[in-house]
Amino acid sequence: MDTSSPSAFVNGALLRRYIGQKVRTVIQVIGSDTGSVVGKSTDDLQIVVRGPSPTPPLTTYLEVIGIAESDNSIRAETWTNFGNTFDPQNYNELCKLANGEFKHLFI
Amino acid sequence: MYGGEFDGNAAFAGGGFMPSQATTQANDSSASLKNRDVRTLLPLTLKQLSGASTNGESNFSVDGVDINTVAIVGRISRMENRITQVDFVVDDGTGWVDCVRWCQERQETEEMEAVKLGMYVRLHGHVKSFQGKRSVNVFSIRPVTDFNEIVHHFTECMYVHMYNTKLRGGSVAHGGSTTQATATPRPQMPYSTIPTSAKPYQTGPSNQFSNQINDPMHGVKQTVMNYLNQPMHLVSEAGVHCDIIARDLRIPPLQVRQAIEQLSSDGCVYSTVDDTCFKSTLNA
Repeated sequence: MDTSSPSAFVNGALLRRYIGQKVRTVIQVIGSDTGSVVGKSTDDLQIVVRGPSPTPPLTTYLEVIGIAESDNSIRAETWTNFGNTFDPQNYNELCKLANGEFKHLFI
Repeated sequence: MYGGEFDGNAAFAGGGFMPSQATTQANDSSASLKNRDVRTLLPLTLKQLSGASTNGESNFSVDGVDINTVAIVGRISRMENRITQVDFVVDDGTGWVDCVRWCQERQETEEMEAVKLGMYVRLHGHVKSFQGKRSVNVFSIRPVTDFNEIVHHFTECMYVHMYNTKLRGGSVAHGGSTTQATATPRPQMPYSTIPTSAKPYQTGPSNQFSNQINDPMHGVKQTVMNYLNQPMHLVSEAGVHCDIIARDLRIPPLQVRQAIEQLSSDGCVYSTVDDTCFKSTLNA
């Protein structure tokens, strides 16, 4: 049992708090380039994800876990398909609570 | 809840010729109520689990609630299948924990075959500690198919945490005791109308009074008591005729008689003029 390397729940706005640390977020892919994927975060900000691309077939929402490189980019380690019926507003509220009042339950 | 908990001691005590410890305890409703009270199912983040306080090797508690069964949702980051057991590591983003799933029944093996490395899963299990290291003994596990479940699980963890810390703050510690909501304490009334206290968040059935489980007359007795405890009946010296009670409450006279007999032997009412008129013992 170990809690020394958690991955923080972030949305676009919270990403800047964890630069250099492991984060996880859910994005909707809006475009891709060689070696990077551009996604829309649950609070409608743009996030660029570099590193290994997710393997198709892709669903609408994808979770990416990786290291935050700047206030709008992540270096991906793991991708997970989160389906097409995922609710981004709920996830957004979860991010806010997990970094606010209930931070001690997560980090 | 099927937890696969085979209590060997209880099953084999007495060689099957005598009632075992477990059956005699089951008849004692207050003891079984206490067992039911202690069986909690808590959704937790692994951060909460690692921070759980402990008194002794296998007693853990979080936010003042004893941990019995935990619910965890996370990714399988490592997995080793050893035929009779599967060792795996679950990572929920707040931490990771070693888990073990014993597979002796066919159903258990099939359940584990549906679970693969890298998958998000929901598991239920018991927390174990060995040489200071905590692990989870899993008895139920399934893959997550709708990922809103992940958001739901963490939201539930936050809710339960808030419930157990803020709402229970100030009431007596161990679940099952009453808090006095009114200014005048009435400790002698087993059928009182004092509202039940906030109990620790748990998903099992819970009862305030042990008598309720085996007592079909409880509702009628409660109604009769509430009637007799009204101020105008408390002050009247002659009491109330039980036919009048039956008429006012629209309960069959026979049921009222039965209720009053039981209440009388419990010391909650007494007969006044003759054995048809009764008064509550409250303030008597």
